[in-house]
Amino acid sequence: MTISEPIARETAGPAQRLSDLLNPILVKEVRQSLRGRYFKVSFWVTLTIATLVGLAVLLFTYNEAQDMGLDTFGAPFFIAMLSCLVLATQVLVPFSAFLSMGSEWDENTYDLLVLSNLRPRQIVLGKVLSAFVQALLFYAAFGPFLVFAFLLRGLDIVAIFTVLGMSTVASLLLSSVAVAMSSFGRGRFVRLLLMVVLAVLLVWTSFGTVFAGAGLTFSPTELYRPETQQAIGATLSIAFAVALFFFAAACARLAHPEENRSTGLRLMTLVVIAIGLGWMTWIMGAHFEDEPALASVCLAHAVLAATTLFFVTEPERLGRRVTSGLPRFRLLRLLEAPFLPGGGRGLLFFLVGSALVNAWAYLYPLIAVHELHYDKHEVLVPPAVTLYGLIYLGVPSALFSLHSDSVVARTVARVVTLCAFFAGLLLPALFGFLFGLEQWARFRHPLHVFLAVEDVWEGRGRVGGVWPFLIVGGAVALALNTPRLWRALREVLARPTTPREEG
Amino acid sequence: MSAALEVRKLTRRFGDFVAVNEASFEVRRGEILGFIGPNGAGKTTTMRVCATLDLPDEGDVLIDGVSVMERPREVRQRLGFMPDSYGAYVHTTITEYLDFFARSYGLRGKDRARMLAYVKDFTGLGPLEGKLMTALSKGMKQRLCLAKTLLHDPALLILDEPAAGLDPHARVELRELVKALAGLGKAVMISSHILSELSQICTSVAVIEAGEIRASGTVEQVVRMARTHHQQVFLRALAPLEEVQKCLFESPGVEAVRPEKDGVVFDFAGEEDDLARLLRRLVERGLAPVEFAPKATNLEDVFLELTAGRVQ
Repeated sequence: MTISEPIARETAGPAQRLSDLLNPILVKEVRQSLRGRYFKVSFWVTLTIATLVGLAVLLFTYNEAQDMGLDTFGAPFFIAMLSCLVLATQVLVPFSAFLSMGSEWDENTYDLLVLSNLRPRQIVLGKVLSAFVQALLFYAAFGPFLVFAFLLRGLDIVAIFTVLGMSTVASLLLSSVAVAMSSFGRGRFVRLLLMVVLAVLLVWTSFGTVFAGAGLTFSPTELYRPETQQAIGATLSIAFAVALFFFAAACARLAHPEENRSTGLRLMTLVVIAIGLGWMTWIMGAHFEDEPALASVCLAHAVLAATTLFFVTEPERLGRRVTSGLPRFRLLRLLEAPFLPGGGRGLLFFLVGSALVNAWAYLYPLIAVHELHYDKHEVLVPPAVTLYGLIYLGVPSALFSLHSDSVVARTVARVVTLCAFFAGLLLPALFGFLFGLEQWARFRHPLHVFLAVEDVWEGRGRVGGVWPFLIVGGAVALALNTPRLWRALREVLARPTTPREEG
Repeated sequence: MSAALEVRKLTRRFGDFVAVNEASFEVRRGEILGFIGPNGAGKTTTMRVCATLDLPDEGDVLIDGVSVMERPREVRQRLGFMPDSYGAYVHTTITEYLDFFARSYGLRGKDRARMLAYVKDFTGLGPLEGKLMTALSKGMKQRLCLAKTLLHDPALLILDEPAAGLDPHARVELRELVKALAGLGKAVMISSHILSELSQICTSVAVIEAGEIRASGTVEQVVRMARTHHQQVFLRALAPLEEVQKCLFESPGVEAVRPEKDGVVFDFAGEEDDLARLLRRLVERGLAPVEFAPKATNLEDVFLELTAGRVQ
């Protein structure tokens, strides 16, 4: 056989066919991790600790059972085992996923992955699934301990499976977040910083899982309350949406800067918001209440603004590969514009997203209770938060948009936007303190987003000049951004010919 | 038939710095193109764009007629790229490494097993298949990387400094492998600083300096082009040396004359017709030339002739 001869098609066995379906990264990573020292050490150390902790809990509860009013030992033993399991699956495993992604840059193997022709989403999924396989190995190893806990009596089987299910999902989602965070920074200092942030997040969520697990284990009847079920459902679905967002972020980071790194994230932002608002709609049902609805609008705008901060500071021009993939029809290109990369289109995305959220706020009561339901002050809250977003995102990003091709300028624009937000809270108060403006000194000024929105909401009028500020600020933001919005749309509509088309 | 690799007015900038400026050349199947240039000339940038690892600011690269801009995934199925530096996967054996890439390229079941066996045999890695990647010598790693690039049977191979760091024995082996691949009808683009190595295998050359292609074509074409710039000629005549030197100094195109062995060597700038006219002039002057031989020009001479060693 020579290398250029066609390879004969032969029938493969079922095991081989199954193996062919597996993600190549998953196969590679599992092979590597099972042979590596990190997994071996963490596996045996966790099992040893679990054994020792289990013995200690048994001895303690056996001696103190009467004082503690316990007649069974299942629950405390289960919580002890759950703590060890959570340590392994929600701390050690996601951390190994973080290191695995980072090693692609540290070991200079990332180019090989690109050349392997795997899509970024296959790479990220393979890493996440590999971490999940490791987590499943931990669950398998802890199986005997968990069965033993059940045999000690005092455990509700539904509660056990609910807690273990939640922990499993949490491990998967945290691994996704860990892989994404690892892809955010390639410099050693940034990676170290990300590692610290991730460690805090992992430990925090682990405590959350253990506390939630303990609550359900000791009071399993809570599980049957609709409020608990709704809370679990909401938490899981929002966590899932956030993990998907991070997944999309990791995929974007793995793509070349000239490729489309933005559309997936923009869509995921809307998905996260839609899931959150969907849960609110489901929980409230036909019993619409204005306060939770407006709070959801504010929270949705906060999420929208947080992600849009990155979109509005993207380079303005479309990458060549993005341009060549634009739809043929102008109308489709126009509809796609807010989701395409570019700072100007990022601001457009904010306005579209904000309009959708506000549409939900107004249409939901009209459909559910057949009236607008808000009083005359509350009805102004959605446009107020939209205008605040437009001002705080639009003004700094417009000023830096001429230099958006520079990574440094983009970073500075993001930092300045954040600083402007906090300076907006503090500086007028300081000014008021220095120059005897009592209202401003007490933070009652229009730049204080939180107090100003609360004031609009309640219609107290304690913060002066909110609407003049919003109208003038919004007009300035729009005026500053009009040229780049125009350029952003024109670039999309006037799709240049690609080299192929030029012949 | 379209070229296996066609680089069309490729430009790549990094900020204000132009790494590659309107580079154009092509490689056909069965051809081995030597891509030569000083350090920092833009070789690796060009190769990375060809391999879809980077994107051009202007121009395009077509692999088997498919644009790297528009269909990068399809392009990756048609090319094998061996970067100048790449890492090794820890805790991974040779077979596992190749299996990973074979899976990534979509090889399934027994096809994958057969292809793995073939490339291991072709590159001589069979006896080492269970060895960990991190335990391999530089030469063996290069073979492994070459094996990886062959797994999906690409039409074009791009090899960036494949011989760097190899011992002479490994270099000879690599050279033979590259020749064998060209013999199988593959187009090969290879960059190296070891020009003597390249001259033994290349059928065509592209010379790049400061991001610009100085010359490209078959080796003969480029050598001829370099000669029109400058070539060395050995002359032995029966007439006294002083007379010969005087005549040469008076002749157009002759730039430097120095005695060597029984004759002189002079630098000549001009076409072959001009050289023939010079020889006739020497005969007419009665200097009785008995040896008049343009020195053989090799790739090293071409390189030195066409590049001034400018870096960006």
